[in-house]
Amino acid sequence: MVPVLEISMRSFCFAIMLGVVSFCAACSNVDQAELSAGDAFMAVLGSRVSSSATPETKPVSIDRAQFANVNAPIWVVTLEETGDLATIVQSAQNGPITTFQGADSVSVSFANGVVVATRGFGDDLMQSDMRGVVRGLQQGGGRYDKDMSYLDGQNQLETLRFQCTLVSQANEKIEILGKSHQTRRFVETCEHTDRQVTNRYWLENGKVVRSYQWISRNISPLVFEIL
Amino acid sequence: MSKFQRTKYVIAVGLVNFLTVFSPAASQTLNSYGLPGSGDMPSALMRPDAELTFGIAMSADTVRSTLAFQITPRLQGAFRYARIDDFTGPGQETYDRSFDLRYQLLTETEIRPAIVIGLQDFIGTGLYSAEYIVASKRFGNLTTTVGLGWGRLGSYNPIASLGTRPTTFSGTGGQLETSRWFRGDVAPFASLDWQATDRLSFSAEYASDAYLLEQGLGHFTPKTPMNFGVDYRFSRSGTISLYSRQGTEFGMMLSFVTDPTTQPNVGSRDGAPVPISVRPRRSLQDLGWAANTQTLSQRFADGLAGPFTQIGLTLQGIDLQPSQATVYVENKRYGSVSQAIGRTARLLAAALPASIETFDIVMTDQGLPLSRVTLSRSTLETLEFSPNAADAMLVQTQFADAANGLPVGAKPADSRRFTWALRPYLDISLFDPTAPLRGDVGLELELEWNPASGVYFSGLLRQPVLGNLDESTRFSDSILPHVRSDGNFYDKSRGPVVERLTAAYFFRPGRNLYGRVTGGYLEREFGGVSAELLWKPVNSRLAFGAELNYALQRSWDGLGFKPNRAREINPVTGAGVIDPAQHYDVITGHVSAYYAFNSDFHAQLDVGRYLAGDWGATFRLEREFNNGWKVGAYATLTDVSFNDFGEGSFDKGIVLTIPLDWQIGQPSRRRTEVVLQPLRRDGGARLDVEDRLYGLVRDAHKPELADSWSRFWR
Repeated sequence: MVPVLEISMRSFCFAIMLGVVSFCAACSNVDQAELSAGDAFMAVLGSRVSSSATPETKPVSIDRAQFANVNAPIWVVTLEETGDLATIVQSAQNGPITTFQGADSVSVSFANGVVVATRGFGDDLMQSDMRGVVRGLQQGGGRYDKDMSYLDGQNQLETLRFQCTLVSQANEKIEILGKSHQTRRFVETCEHTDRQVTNRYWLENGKVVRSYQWISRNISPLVFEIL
Repeated sequence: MSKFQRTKYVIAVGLVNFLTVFSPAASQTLNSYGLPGSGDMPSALMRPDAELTFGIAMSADTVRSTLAFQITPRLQGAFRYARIDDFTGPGQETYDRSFDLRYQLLTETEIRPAIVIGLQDFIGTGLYSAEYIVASKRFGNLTTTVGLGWGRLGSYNPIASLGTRPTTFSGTGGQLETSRWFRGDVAPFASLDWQATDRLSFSAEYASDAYLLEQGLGHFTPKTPMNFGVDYRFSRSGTISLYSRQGTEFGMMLSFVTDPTTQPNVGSRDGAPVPISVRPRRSLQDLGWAANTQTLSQRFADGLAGPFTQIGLTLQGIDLQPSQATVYVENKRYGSVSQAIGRTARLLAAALPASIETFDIVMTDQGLPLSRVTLSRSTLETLEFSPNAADAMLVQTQFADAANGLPVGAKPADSRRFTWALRPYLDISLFDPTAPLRGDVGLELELEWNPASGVYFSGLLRQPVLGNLDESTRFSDSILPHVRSDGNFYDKSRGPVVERLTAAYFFRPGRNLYGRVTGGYLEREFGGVSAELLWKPVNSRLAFGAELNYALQRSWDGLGFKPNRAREINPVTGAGVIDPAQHYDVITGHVSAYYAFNSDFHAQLDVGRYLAGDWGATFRLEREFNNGWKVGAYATLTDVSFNDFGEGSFDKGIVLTIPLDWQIGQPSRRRTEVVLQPLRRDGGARLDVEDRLYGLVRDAHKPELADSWSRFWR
């Protein structure tokens, strides 16, 4: 059988060397240096295949005492898919919307406990119209449209319009980190073409203390609990 | 969220992408020519708009690699590089380049089939030359195709004949052979493609190709006109195919798909920006601080330098007035300038005194102020969480020329004045007939000293470590001055090489005008002086430029300048005289017009004098995507006759620009430009100077900013 492609020894060595040399990181005196060929190669590889980055230690559990000295409101955020926890602290207020920031360059903005925007998660919720949800939670239920916008691969905003129904479901006593809350549970069912999304909100005296919210197609749903 | 958590979500996303069921449109197979079809026959299907496909088809005596691009939803183009064994004699292969174009006359509907008219190998030597009209109709999972072919596709069992078809290519090859098109024998072909599962498909076809060339070379003898194939899509973007040809030969094909309009990993992992700080009402009128704006401007410049560096930008100057601030910012991190502007605005809103209502953000590059973006702080505060924040912000933003220059005393932050970087490099050479793929890897050192605004001294040194670029023994038979065709001799030295060593000055001669002067060792093969002027208003899609260069050809190694060999020495026999005192030098220059169409296309026309002293023009057309991807092609025609140019007849090529941040989802301005130039000869050759103005300037002008303005709030 005639070999289909002849590969000389030198070409083979070159191919091996290519792989090896590409792994070398660049050295530079500039802090925000452009990624070297090696870094870029590793980054592309890592973004296509699973990355073997060593995980930072994540808090297995959160203790109220850890935050005794923090004066600002804090949400505990849990990724539903993995169970990983983080905390975000209030950092800015713009009218009715409050922005909370987390340790790792993520931020979540809320209107009365409803997520209106996120940053730093990747496929972030860039902008949204949550007026229906907020009003519905105040009025005990409702039907409305909800817009959620994301950046597509060409840096254009793609808006998904959901048709939603919010229903006040039941009274429920819940416990968040040792503190109990008497809450009213709301369930929101939203539909957009063939996708159905269910969110839940637990309100104590008209304020959201816990919620389960779907953020985007490529982020796991998040659970927020007030500390 | 910790890095670990985000990594895991990326893994989850990646796995989901890997396993996602494909949409029917994208599950079409490619034929051995790298285009929609099966086996060796084309179909009337098109790929999704803007998709790039790359396929390698291998059989015992042939390898065909094809890069195809869906230029518009109905027009597809392809470039093919094929190796054919035993061409000039046993054991002597040839490498053939060909271009294809196909156009969908009718799209497929409920009742009618899709119809495509195609030109295969329409520029070139014509080994694969064919034309066809083909119709395809899908019935559920079955695609039926029927067509008529000319040329290679009309060679088996022709049913008629239209005129006579010239059998040889004209002159030196590489030309449009219109006298061939749809002439000669015409024969029918047909194929059936069955999509058995969403990954597996089978095909059978009746081929109208008699494989006369392959028979003549002794590759195989056809036993039946039927070809069969099976395709298996093993990943979201890769397919492997096995096919039998004419009942006597087997082949395998690997094909890959990339879509510049969608991201490999959705979303980008830029860290969260600074939230907008809303000013308390009372403080808006507080002007107590404005007593001495100059001192305060300096204090803010010093104080904000750190925060700007932290978000990846360089603050070059700030000028505060009681209700307006002007900021000069250099962006070397964000691929989208809109994002850099947005992050700057957020930082200013958080830091500046409350009475300042208007922000003038001037983006700079290479010391050139490129544009002045004016926005109101109140608008920022109001729109931050508005449901249509991006569009509303664009409407309220003004874009203007920034020719006033950087403020007196503005200079790059000390940390950026002298920069160096040491990194590996990869240099690849394609299409050399003696070895189609060669390369070198090595280390390169890049240095830059920026002592004053707009003044740059820079150098690039390379040291090859391993590779085979030096193995090329090709000798150019060009009768023109060897301005490019001796290129392989520059790769022979294995010691350190000075790629570039230049002094450059960037300046703004006036409103809408940008200027550059560069001198020194401009590129690997030439040194000299280059001067350029560009006219481009900030809100304009049109730009004009003029460039004038004095180029001196460099020696093959070292820092000298090569004596003029080409005119004195016979390149084949080596006979002749060298006059060491006479160097090859030339004055080159171009006037250029650039236009960014409203649709995704961009055109550039350069008219002038090229390195070999020839006069002519280059036309370049690219499809540009808002994420930084570009796919295009160019051709150059000069007063050098096709015969004098030599093989290939005129200079042409395909250009691909691939942004790194699109690939990895993290901010970066790095872009890889790939130029596929089938032949590198001496006609139509331009000087390769760094930092030509148009590329520097356009990213910060309104058309480009508006296209990606959705990133302003990111």
